[in-house]
Amino acid sequence: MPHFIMSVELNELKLFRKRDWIVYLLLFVLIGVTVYTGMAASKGTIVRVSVNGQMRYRFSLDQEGQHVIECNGKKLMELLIADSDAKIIHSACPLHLCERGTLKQSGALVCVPQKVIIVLEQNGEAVEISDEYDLITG
Amino acid sequence: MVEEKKSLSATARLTFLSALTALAISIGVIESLVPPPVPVAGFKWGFSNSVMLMILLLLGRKEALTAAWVKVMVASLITGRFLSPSFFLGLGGSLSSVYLMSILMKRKFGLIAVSVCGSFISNLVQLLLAASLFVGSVKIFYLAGYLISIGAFTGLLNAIIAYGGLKWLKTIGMLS
Amino acid sequence: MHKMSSGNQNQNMKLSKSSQLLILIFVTLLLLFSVFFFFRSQPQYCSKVDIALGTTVKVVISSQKDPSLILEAILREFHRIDQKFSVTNEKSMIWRINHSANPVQVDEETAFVIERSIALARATEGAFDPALGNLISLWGFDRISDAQFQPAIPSDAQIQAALEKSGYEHIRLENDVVVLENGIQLDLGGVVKGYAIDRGISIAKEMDPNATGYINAGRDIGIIGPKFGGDYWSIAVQDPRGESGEYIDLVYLKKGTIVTSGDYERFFIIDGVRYHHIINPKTGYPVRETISTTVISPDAMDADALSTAAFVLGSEFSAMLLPVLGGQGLFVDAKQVVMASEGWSFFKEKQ
Repeated sequence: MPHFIMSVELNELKLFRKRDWIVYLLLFVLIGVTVYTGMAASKGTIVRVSVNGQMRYRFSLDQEGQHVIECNGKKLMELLIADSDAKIIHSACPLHLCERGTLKQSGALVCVPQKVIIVLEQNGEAVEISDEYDLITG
Repeated sequence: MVEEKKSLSATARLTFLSALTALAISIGVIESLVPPPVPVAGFKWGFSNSVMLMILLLLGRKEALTAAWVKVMVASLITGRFLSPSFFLGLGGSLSSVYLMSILMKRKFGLIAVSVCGSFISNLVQLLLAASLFVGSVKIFYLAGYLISIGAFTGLLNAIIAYGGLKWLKTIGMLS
Repeated sequence: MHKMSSGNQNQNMKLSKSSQLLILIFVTLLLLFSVFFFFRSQPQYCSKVDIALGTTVKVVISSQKDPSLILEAILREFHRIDQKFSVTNEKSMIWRINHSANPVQVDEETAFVIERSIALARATEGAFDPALGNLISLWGFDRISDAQFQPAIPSDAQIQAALEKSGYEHIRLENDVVVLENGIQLDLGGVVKGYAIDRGISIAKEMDPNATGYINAGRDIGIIGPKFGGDYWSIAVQDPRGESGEYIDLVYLKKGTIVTSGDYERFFIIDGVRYHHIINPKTGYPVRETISTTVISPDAMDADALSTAAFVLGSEFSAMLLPVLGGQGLFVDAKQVVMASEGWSFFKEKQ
């Protein structure tokens, strides 16, 4: 029964013992597994672009560069993907309000006059905007 | 065979238990002021486990479990989180941690390994409880990897603290 | 070498054993409960995003009944309200009222919205005013979401003329008949989003009283039900001068609505000067003293009108007025000083 009697036990108290290796091995494996699944999960992040309610484009965050978004032959805007994030540039709308902020910052990029909605999707589910809060008003 | 009565007297045991439990409570309360490592309600860091370990080594499993109960009760009452998510997570985490650590100590594992396992099981139980009772989403398990690393780190620190703490008590002659 | 101390040991051992067993049972039960509850816990959240009322509408719902049906119903309602209360759509009720020489017979819903708007205008002494159609149209903020919008600054004379044809006191509503006097024009843009949010929440509750989630219409939020059935939704308040996503405050709501008016939402810049959509009903020009107001209220329609009114009235006065009208608010003035009404801090804690 675990009734340690100090004067003795203290001398036997060791930080490391031979059998510890089992624990460290398990730990190593566990960390490896979770990191791997974590990486696999984030690879699936997709940028979804819908125009007028219709899903038109899907890009992976790896597809860096400028992508043209058009509808019925008319160029609406360009989507710039870089550093695992995206933003709208060269939009044909009058006030360019949609060019503010990036996709990860705002949670979604929207151009109201041109009816374009751009969101992030991961394994079919919408991605959380922020881990500090659920929603932002304003 | 001569039986050397080298164990601590009952009074000394009680005193140590009280003092160390109070210390654990203080650490627990301070911990809840610091933001949790994970964006989940009521999640605990686990540094009070270093004191739990000390109680376990010094006084035994029963005392350590008692201390764990008391610590969680009092800390949650002080912070006004009695019966809140953090109460249940704290309870699950502390009790399972102490229990596992006592088993591993008996089986003569090294202190660091014991402490790391203690932190690990504490985080694991908190994760399971949070997932089932409070969060209701699989997404929380994506935090698992992050959590394991945190657990290993705090485990290491706790072991060093407990070891140092006991050695220090011995040196200043409190354990005779 | 292990040394036993005394006979006490045996007794302690026995206690140890039973408390060990107790702990073991407790932990097992805990784990069993966890697994059990895990599979019974609330279903996942579904969301849908659409454009209506000149802004992005995102609905997030969790329901035991088919959530996509509820999502569709809410968004349909938003489109219906958009059509019915639009100022620019010729088929809308508001267009009819604005362009009719004769009294117009309206339906219950329109009467309700107009009556409520008048009441809110009275309560805020005109700071919120549903009859500023001429002014808003002059500045162009009714067409700001159109692809062909051209920003321009009206002249002083034009603004004076529009001011004379403004004011809720010239709305006559009796027995569901509406008459607009003095050439005023209705523009319900200041409450219509809030009204739609309230309607959306009612529809969700009708279809499933236990549904949880929220409606986010252009960052005006109405809560359908608490997060995962019991938890608070944490809502940040956008920093009016910060990057999108940066916030100045954080509140926790399980129910109710929160609406923000800002000078950064609908605006255009000409010669380095910002002209935004919240017009001072007395001067005819965009309000300069306030840059952002946020209101929490049980009804989104109230919150919507109150946040507009607070913008016009200024931080200090609004901080006192709002609680009287059933709302709590956070205000940022032009000097970026943040002020809150007394009850606002209630929402900063998870009670």
